[in-house]
Amino acid sequence: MQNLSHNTGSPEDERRVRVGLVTDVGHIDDGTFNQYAYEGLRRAATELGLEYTYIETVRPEDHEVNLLILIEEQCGLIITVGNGLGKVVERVAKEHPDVDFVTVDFVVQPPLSNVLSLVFAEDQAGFLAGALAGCITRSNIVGVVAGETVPPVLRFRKGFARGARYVNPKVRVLSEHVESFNDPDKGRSIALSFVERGADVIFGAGGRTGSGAIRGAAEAGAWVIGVDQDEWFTTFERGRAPGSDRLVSSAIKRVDIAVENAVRDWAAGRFKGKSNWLGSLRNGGVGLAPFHAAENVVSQEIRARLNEVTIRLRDGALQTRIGPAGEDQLETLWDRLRVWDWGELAVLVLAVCTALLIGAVVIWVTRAADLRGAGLPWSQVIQEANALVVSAYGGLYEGAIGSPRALAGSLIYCTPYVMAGLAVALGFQCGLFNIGVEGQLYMGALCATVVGFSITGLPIYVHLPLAVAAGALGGAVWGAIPGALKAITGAHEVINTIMMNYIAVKTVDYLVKNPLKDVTATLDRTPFVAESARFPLLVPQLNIHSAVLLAFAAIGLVWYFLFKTTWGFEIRTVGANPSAARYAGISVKRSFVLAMALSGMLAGMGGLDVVLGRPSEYALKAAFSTGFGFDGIAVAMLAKSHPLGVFPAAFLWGALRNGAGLMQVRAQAISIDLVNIIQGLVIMFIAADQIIRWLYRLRARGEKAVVFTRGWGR
Amino acid sequence: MTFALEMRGITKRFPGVLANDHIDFALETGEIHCLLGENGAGKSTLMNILYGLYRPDEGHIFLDGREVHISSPTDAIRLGIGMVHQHFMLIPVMTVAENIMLGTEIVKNGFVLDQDTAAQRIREISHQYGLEVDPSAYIKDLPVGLQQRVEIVKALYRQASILILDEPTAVLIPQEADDLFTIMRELAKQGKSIIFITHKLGEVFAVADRITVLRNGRVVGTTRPSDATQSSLAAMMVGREVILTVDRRPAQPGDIVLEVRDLKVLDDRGSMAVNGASFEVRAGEVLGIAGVQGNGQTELVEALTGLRPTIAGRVSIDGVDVTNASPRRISEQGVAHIPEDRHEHGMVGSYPVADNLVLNTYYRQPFARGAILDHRAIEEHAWRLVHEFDIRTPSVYMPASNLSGGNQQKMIVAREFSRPIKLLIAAQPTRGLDVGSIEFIHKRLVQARDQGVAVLLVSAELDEIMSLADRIAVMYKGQIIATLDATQAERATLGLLMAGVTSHGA
Repeated sequence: MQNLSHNTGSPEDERRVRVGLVTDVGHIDDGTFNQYAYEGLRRAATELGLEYTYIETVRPEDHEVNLLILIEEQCGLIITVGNGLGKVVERVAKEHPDVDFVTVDFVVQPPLSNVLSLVFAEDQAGFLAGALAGCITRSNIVGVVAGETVPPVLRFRKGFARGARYVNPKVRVLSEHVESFNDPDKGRSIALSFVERGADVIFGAGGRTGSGAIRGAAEAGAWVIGVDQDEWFTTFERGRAPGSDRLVSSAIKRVDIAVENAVRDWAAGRFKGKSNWLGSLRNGGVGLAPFHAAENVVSQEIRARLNEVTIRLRDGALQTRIGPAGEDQLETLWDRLRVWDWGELAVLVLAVCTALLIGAVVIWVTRAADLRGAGLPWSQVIQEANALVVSAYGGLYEGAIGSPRALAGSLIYCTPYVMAGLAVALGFQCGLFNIGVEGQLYMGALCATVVGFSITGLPIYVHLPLAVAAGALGGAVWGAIPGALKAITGAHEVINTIMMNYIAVKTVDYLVKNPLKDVTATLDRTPFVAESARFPLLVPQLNIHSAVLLAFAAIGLVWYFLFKTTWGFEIRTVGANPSAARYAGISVKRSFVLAMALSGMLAGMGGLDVVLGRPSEYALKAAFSTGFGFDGIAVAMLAKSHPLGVFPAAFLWGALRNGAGLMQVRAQAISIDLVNIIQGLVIMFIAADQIIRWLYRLRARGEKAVVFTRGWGR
Repeated sequence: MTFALEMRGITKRFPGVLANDHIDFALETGEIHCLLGENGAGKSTLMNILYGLYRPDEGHIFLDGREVHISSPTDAIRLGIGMVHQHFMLIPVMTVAENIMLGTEIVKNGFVLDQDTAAQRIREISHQYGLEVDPSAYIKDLPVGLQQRVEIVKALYRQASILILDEPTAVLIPQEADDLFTIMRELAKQGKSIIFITHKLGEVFAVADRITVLRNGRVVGTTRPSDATQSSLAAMMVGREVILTVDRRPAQPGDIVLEVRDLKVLDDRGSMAVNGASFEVRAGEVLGIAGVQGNGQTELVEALTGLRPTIAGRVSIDGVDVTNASPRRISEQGVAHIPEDRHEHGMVGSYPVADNLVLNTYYRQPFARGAILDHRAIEEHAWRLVHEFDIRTPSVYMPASNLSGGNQQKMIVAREFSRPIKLLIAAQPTRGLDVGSIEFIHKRLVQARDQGVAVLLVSAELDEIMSLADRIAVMYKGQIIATLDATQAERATLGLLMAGVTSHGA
C-alpha cells in the first residue's frame, strides 16, 4: 500500500513518508525508553531519508492532543511510547485508518489492521536481573523499586523476584510500586528504606523513579541494577556520576532496535498491522547489560550460572510463568484437568448405565416369561414386556426427580447417605475400611436425641447446636475406639467396627424399649425432642429441612480438610502409601485415630439429621436406620472416596430409593427390590471394574507402557 | 551367511510409546552378543518378543535362516531359546533337580518321576560346560551365584542353543561375575549363542564378541569391543557425551556428624540383621558402605532414619542422641534420606509431583500456615525444583507414578536436597536408573559433599562406591568388617571382604 502511494499525487506522497513520535511523559533525552525509541526512529529515518518529528508529552492528559497534532502534521506512521498512551491509540487509530501506528509497550485490544505493537519479555529480563541479584547478595535481601502498576513493570518486578528465588531459595524480595515514572525523590527514599532493612541489591524498574532509586541506593553503598537501557550510560553518566561503581548491570529492552526495525519495515512497505512483535531473549529484544565497573564482582561462577539461566530461558526449558498482563501464570484448571484420568469417570457412568440396562432386561424377561407361561402369542408378549419396562422406569424417573415433590423427597432421602458416604470415604482416604458407620450413626442419633428431649427451655440457636455437637461427639467416640485399637494393638478395624455395630444397635434397642421409652407412645420410641432441638423446615410443604444444608456444608468441609490442610495431607498420605508416610515423618497411628474419629463424627451427624430433621421422626425409634451406614459404603465406592463425588453418588442412591415406590405403583408386576438389584449391580461393576472396561473396551490404567516421560538426554 | 538368530524390522507399539522401532538384530552362532541400552531403550521388549511373551506388530524372526513364529514361551523353549531372568524362576523349597525338570518331567512306569535320570543328565551338562551344581541340593541353601547357575543349567537341560541372560550380574559380587563370564565363554566355545543384556559398560568389554546398542527403541549401531571405548558406547547409549568418571576433589573432612556405636537391629523375621556395627561419617566426606545385598544394609539405613527400632547401641547426629527417635525428629536434625525402595518409601505414586516434592516438609513454612496448606507455595516450589533438577514432567500435577524411574528418583533427590541438610543417607541411589540419571545423581552427591554435608552411601554397586566414596566400609553379616581409605582400596580386596574373607593386615 505504501509503495503504491509513492506514485500518486504529491500531497499524498508527502503525507506517507513522514514519521512522528509521541513520548510518554518525559523527554527524548531522558535516558528512558523515550530516548531509546527516539534514537531508533532517528537512525532509521536518517538512513532512509525520511522526514521525522516528535512531541514530548508533559502531562498524561496531553497524550491525545499530541497524537492528533501529529496526524494533523500529515504523519503516515506514528510511534507511541509507553503504556499510558495505549488507550488513546486504541481510540484514535480506529478513527484514522489511513495512518499507521506503532505502539511501544502496549497491545491494542482488539487488534487493529493499522497498529503494530512492540512488546517485550520484561519478565525474562527481570528474571535474569533477579538471578544476578540472587547470586551476589550477601544479606539474602534484595529490593525492587517499581514504577506504575502497569503490565511491563509488573513483569519486570515479578520476573526479578522469581529469578532471585530461582537461584537462591533463601532470598527475600522487598518491593514497592510508586504510581509515577517521574518521581526520583520518592524512588530514592524507598530505596534507602530498603537498604536500611538490610537489602544489598536494589533493582529500579520504573523510568526516572527507578533511576532515582538506584542512584540513591548506589550512593548508600548497595549494589544496584538498572532497567530498560544500560543505565551506566544514562543515569550514571558513563561512570562519571557518584556510585556508578555500584551498578552491576541493567535489565534492558532494546526499544531502539525494535522501533528502528519497525520504521524500516514500514518504509519498505512491509508494515504488519494487527500483530505484535515480542522482543525476547530469543531475538535479542531483551537481555542484561554489561557489568561495567562492577566487572570484578561478578565471578566466573556467577557468569556461568547466568549463562545457563539465559540459555534455559531462551530455549523455553525454563519459564518465568508470568503472563502478558504481569499475572502469575501458575497451572491453570485446564492443566490440572488434563492429567486427570477420565477413564475412571467413564467407568462410573458406564457402571450405572449398564446396571440400569440389566435392570430393564430383568423386568422384560420376567414379564415375558410370565406371559408366555400364560400362553400369550409372542407379539403380544413383546409388546407388554416393552410397555412394562417403560412404565417401570417411567415411574422410577417420576418418583425420583419427575416433580418438585419427588425431587425434594430424593434430596431428603440422600442426606444421611451423604453423611454416611462421607464417613466411609474419609476412612478410605486413610486406607481404613470403616464398616462401623451404621453403629456410629446409631450412637450419634442416640446422643443427639437424649440431649434433644431431656433439656428444655433453651433457645433454638443454643439447643440445636448442642444436640448436634452431642451427636457428633457420640459418633466420634464410637469411631475413635476401633481407630485407637488399631493404632495401639494393630487390631483390624473391620472386625472391631462390625462388633461395635452390634453393640451400638443393641444398646439403642434396649434403651429405646426400656429406660428411654416414651411411656405414652404405643410404638417403641423415645420422647419427642424439644421443638428447639429440631432442624427448622426450609420448605415446609415439601418437608425440606435444614439438615440438608448441614450435609452440603459437610461435603465442603471434608473436601477442604482433606485437600487443603496438613492433617488431611497426612491422612491421605497414610492411605495412599503408609510406608512413604512413615518415611516422611507422619504419625500413622495418630492419623488412624483421627480419621476414625472424624469418620465416626460424620456418621453420627448422619444419624442425628434423620431424627432431628425429619418431621416423621423427631424421636429415636429402635430401627430408625434402613441401613444408611452400609449404603454409605456403596456411596463412597461410587464416589471413588472423593468428597465431591459423594453428593452425586448419594443423590443417585436416594433417588433410586425414593423413586422405587412410584415404580411399583406404575408397574404392579415388579417388586420394589428391583432397585436393590440395580444398586447391587452398580457396586459390583465398580468393584470389578474390569468387567466394564472389558465390555466397553476401555484401556486399564497403570499399564506399564504408558510412561509420559522417559529418557534423559533429549 | 545364516545367523543362529535374525530379527528383522521388529516393531512393537504400546499405547503412546514406540517400544521397538524396526529393530534389526543378528546373532552369530557361538558368539556372545551384548545388548546394551538404558532402561526403556527397548531391550526387554525385544527379548520378550523373542521369548514369546509379546507379539511384534511388525517384523520377522529367523532361526538358522528359517522364519519362525513364536507365540508363547513354550514355543521359544521348543525352538531352543532359553532365558535366564533377572529374578530367578526357582522354587526355594525344591531341589536343584526338581527345579530343573519342572515342566519337562521325565516319567517312568507311567507316573513315577524319574529323578535319577534327570540328575544324571544334569551332571552331564554340569560337567560338559563347567557348571558345577549338586542336583540334590535345595535351592534355598544355595548362594545367589549358584542359583543363577541352576537357571542356566535349566535352560541347557531344555536343549537351548540360544541363551538370553537378562542383567545377570546385578545380583553378583565381582568374583561371582567373573565366574559367570568364564562360564559364558565356555558355553560360546561349545557352540551356544548368547545374548547378554546389560547396562554396565565394563562387563561389555570383559565378555562380548559383538555389541548392539539400543536407544529409544531403535538400533543405534552394532560394533565390536576392539572398535569401541567405554565413553563411545556411553555416548551411543545416551545420545550425547557422558562423563563417566566422577570429577571430584579430595575430601576435606570436618567434624563428626553421624556416629554409630555397637548398633544392633533385628530384621522382619526377628534375626539379627545389624550385629554391633560402629562407624562415623564426617562433614564433607562420603562414607561408602559396600557389601553384597542382604548383609544388613537395609536394616542399618532403616534404623538410622527412624524407620526401624534398634535393640542396642547408640546413634548420634552432631552429638545429639537420636537412637530410636522418630523419623520426623531425625529429619529435623538435618538428615536427608534417599530410600532404597523409591516406590515403597520414597514417594506416593498417586500423588502429583508437587505434593511428592513436599512429602516431608508440607507442615512447615511456607508450605503451610498453621494447619492450612498453601498450594501456591507448594506449586511454585515444585516448579523451581522441576527446573533445577530437570525432572521431565508435563505438569507438576502429573501423578508421580507416570514418571520414568530416573525422573522419579530425581524428584526424590530434589526433595531431599531442597532443605538444609547436614547428613545425607543415600541407599542404592542409582539402582535401576539409566546412565544419564546416574551421572546426574552422582554429581549431586559430590556437590553435597563439597558443601560440607556428611554423606553415607550404601550401594551394592562396587563401581559406584569406588568412584564416589572417600572411605569404604565393608558390611558383612551385619558387621562392619573393615574400613578402608578409598585411595588404597582395591577391587579384589573389596571383593574378598564382601565375601567375608578378612586377611589380617588389610
